[in-house]
Amino acid sequence: MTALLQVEGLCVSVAHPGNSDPVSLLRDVRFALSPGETVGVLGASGSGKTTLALALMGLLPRDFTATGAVHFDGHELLSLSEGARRSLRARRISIVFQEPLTALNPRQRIGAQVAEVARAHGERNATRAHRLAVEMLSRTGLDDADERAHRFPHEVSGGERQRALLAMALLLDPALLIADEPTSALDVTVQAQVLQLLRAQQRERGMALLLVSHDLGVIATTCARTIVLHEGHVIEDTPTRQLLAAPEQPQSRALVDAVRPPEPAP
Amino acid sequence: MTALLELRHLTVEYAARDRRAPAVDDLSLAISRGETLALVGESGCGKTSVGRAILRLLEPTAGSILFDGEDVRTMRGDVLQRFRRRAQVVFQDPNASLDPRMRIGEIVREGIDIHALMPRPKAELRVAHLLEEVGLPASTAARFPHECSGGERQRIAIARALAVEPEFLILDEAVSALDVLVRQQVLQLLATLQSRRKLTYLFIAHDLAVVERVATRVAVMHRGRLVECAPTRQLFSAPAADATRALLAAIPRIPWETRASGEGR
Repeated sequence: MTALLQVEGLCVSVAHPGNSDPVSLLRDVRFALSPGETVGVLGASGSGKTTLALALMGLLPRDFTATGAVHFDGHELLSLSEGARRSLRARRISIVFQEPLTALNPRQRIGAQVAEVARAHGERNATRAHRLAVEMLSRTGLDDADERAHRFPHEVSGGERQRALLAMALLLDPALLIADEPTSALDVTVQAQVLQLLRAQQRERGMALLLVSHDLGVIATTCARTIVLHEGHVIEDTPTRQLLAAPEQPQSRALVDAVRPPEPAP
Repeated sequence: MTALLELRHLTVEYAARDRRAPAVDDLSLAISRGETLALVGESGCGKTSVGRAILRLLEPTAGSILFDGEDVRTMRGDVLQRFRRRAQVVFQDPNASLDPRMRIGEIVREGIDIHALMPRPKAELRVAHLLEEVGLPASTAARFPHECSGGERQRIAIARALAVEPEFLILDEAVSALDVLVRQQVLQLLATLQSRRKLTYLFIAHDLAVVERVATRVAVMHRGRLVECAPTRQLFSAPAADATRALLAAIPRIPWETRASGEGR
């Protein structure tokens, strides 16, 4: 199968004021993702996970430099114009972030924010955009979506906000969803529900999923393959079962041991 | 073992809230010296209100809080001052709990000064020892909170709590904001400190997977009520309450291989 996403020799660095050498955040990162594949990006804080997610979305801050190549769906993302990239976003490649409160506009009702995605990508009719938004909110498991759509972000729970973000990300049926620590800010019971929703949506749509997390527990229940990042390098790229059974690198082993229950599983 | 802390029929109601649904509803619980009691439940179950009531950060509607036999609610003067030294707290977000304008040394020393435990030069030496005890170089004292990582900040919050030689520590989601590796290191540190200093912990958390590693016993709250309290192993193997089962079900089920079946490649 041809790759949906192919990352080749991706390097990202940032110039540090008062420091002559730029700081490397990603070093020669390479991996491929097939359509419909679920891949986890595992790493400790500062390993470069979020930088990778932002680089793939073309959302790196201006003072960051990215070199290498990111092929997605026939385009090379790093050299793509901002306009062309914007039309790919949401339509073909989407992202959900960790903190839904900061990712949502606090002054706009939830339904309107979801509808805005539809309108930004060509839906001229406001009523139809709103109806689409409510439908999407209800598909992401928001109870009473009709009523919730009229609320502001601060008027709903963290889990509901994350569902709303997911509704925005999935509205245009993307081929690839990047989820950056989507459940780290949530309570465990809500985390379990959101992960279940993510898995269900992934299967139903056959979309590819790149799930970024420091927690192998989150990745292992959702992704067939796992890429381990350490200090900006890919140190392991392996089936998740294989990683759980026999991590090859000491840094991977530490991440595996961190989620191992106190007694060996029966 | 005698109880260091005993809650009797503790009830907390917030004025603005619906009177029929107290945040903490007739909760009775005892914590023995030297144990780690985990208080768990989903967001909004009332677990943080319990911690705040113990620390007198909020006024309960009813019930008593006995610390070493004395009711915290009626303590005053020297007795209250002494309680405030003996019971300390570490919060979830060290970003919000450390004053950004103070150097780490001052932050850790503040409690020693407030309780006038020792003169300044000795206190500074004490701070250096405390920082080393929590695994940080003594030079950290000269830094500001924003110059430290999340894990370092949480170690600083622990050092600050230990500075006044407490016996009882409330750890309110103290490791929830940390990444799994740092979390493991901080849990390890807490375990070491507990055995070295004979500390008693109230470990407030929403994540049972973390609790399993550290708690002697687990108390589960649901909608303000205590629905189950059992030794950790028993709670995990034979949960009695629906709320406990729901929390257990939420732990990601990692598909560990049985060790015997050697995975091909």
